[in-house]
Amino acid sequence: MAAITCSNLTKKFGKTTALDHIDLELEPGRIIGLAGPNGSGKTTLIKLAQHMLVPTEGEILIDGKAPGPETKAHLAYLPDRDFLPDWMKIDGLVKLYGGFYEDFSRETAEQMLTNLDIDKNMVFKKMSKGTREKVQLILTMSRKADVYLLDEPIAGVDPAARDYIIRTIISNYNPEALVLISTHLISDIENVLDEVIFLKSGTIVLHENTDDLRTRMNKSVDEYFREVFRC
Amino acid sequence: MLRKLIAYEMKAYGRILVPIYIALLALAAILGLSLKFLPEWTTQNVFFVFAVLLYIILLLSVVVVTTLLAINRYYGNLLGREGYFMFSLPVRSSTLMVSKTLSAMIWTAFGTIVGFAAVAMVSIVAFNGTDYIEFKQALHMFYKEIISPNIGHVIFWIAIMILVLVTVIVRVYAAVAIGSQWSGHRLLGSVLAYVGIKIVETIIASVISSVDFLKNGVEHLMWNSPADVNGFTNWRLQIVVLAIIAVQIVIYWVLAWYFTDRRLNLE
Amino acid sequence: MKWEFKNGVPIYLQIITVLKRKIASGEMPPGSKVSPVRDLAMEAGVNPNTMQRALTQLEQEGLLYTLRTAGRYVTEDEQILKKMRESLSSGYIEDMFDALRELGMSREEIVEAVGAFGREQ
Repeated sequence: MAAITCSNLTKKFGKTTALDHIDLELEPGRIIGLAGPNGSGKTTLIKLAQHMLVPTEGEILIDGKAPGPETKAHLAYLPDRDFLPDWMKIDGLVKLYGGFYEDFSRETAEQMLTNLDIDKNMVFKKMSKGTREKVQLILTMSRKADVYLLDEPIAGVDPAARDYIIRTIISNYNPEALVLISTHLISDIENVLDEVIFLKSGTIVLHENTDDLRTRMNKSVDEYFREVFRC
Repeated sequence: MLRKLIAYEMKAYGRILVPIYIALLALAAILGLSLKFLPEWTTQNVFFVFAVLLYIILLLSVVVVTTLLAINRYYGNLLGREGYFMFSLPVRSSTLMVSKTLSAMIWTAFGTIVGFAAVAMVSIVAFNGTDYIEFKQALHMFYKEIISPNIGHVIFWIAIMILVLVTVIVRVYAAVAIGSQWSGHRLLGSVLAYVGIKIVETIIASVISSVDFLKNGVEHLMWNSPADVNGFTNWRLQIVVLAIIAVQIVIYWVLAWYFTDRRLNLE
Repeated sequence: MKWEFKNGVPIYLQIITVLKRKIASGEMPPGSKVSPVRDLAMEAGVNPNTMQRALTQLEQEGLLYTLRTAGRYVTEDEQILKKMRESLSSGYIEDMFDALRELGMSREEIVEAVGAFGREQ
C-alpha cells in the first residue's frame, strides 16, 4: 500500500488555490524530494497530511487511512520553524517525546545528542538557532515512524549543519519508511533522493526517479529544477 | 493520552503558578508572625505596609496569572508556534481541547484553595490556634444550620459554579479560535470575537430573562424559597437553569472545535 | 567528506566507477570486507537505495560477493579484477582521445604524442 496517496487533492484559501487537484502515490522505502519555490504548496501538502488543514476537495491518505490520531502515531513531522515548548530542558523534551510517541527511541535520541555534545540540562530557548534545529531534527528522526515529513530541514543552515542533517536522515533511514523532504534548494539534497516531485503553483509538474531524470535530461536534477522554475 | 496531556499542562502551569503560591503562603505566614510577635509597632512600620501591599498584589496575581495562563495555553500553545507540536500528537483535537479545559479548571481550583489558605494562614499563625476551637465550632454550626438542611440547594449552586467556570473557559477558547482565523491580527481578532460573542450572549440573555417564570424562578432559586411559578417547582427550575448553561457550553464548544479542528490556522 | 558527482549521469553509475577505482587502487584490496550499505551511503552522501543498487550491480559483475552471514567482500578472482582494470583504463583512454580530438589532433598525432610522453617518463 502507498504510504501517502493523494487523489484530486485540492486546498483553497479564500480565492487562492494552494493545491490544485493533485494526484500522487508515494511508496514506502523511498526518500522523496518535494521541490518547488516558496508558495508553491509544499507546506500546504504537508499540513494536509497531518490534519492541520482540511482539504477543500479530494482526499489524502496515510497508509490508506485519513489523517488523525492513528496516522499521527506513525508519522514524524519536522515543521519549518521552532515548534517545541521552548521553556523545557532538552532532557524534558526527550521525556515528552518518549511519553507521547510509542515509536520514539530515547537511546537513539540520547546517543545523537551526546555525539553533538549537546547539554541535556540546557533550556531549549537558550540554545543557538542552529542547535535548536538540530535538536528538533534529532527528536523527529529518533522515532521509528512509517512516514517522515521534513519541511525545509536545510533552509538557512550552514554547509556543516547541512551535511549533518543529511547524514542523520541517511543513518536513521528505515527501508520500510517513506521520507518526504520539502525544499527549495534541490542541489543540497539531490544525491540523497530516490524520487523528486516538482510543485509549481499548486500543481505537480514532474514526479520522477532522480536517476532516470538525470539520464533523460542529461543534467542534474538541480539544473533541470532551475530551468523549470526560471523566473 | 488525556492523562499525559494534562500532566504536560500541569508542568506548564506549575512552573509559573507554584512559585507564586509559595511566595504568597510564605508571605502570609510572615504577616501572621509579625502580627503575633510585634503587635504594637507593626501596623505603623513601613515594611509591614509594604508586605501587606505585596500580599494583596500576590493574591490578585494568582487570579490574573491563572486567567492569562489559561488563555495562553490555548492561544499560544495550541494555536501558535507550539501548535505544530500539539497537533502532531496522536490525539484528536477534541482531546487537546478537553485537556486544556480541565487543566484551566484544575488550576482555578488550586488558585481558589491557595487564596483561601493564604487568608486563613494570617489569622491562624497570628492567633496561634487560640481561636481554633471557636473556629471549629462555628464551622460545625455553619454546616449543621446552613449546609445540611439545604444540601440539594448547595449541590445545585456548586454545579452552577462549575458549569459557569466551564462556560467562561470555553467561551474564551471559542473567541480565540475564531480570532486566530485573522492571520497577522490574531490578538485583535480574538478580542473582537470575544466582544462579539458577549454582545450576542447579552442580547439572548435579555430575551430569556424577560420570560417571566424564569426571572422570578431564578430569584426563588437564589434564596431557596419554595417556588411555584407556572407550576414549576424548585427542582424543575434548577434543571431549566442548568440546561440553559449547558446549551451555552455546547454552542461554545462546537464553535471552538470547528475553528480549531476544521479551520485550523496556525501561525 | 562527500564524494563528488557529475551532473547528468545517474548517481549509481558514478558510484560504481568510484568503487571500481577504489578496488583498482588498492583502497579496497581483494578479499577485504566492504562496509555496510548504510555506512557507505553516509560516506558518499547518497541514498542507501542508490548505494545498494550500485553494490548489487558490482556483485552481478562479480567484483563483489556476499557471504550469507558475514557480509560483502571484494573478489580475489584475478581474471575479473584484470577485466575491470582494463575497462577502467580503456575508459580513461577514451576520455583522453575525446579531449585531444577536440583540440584538433588527428589519431596519428595523438598516438605519437602519447608514445613520446611514455618514453619521457
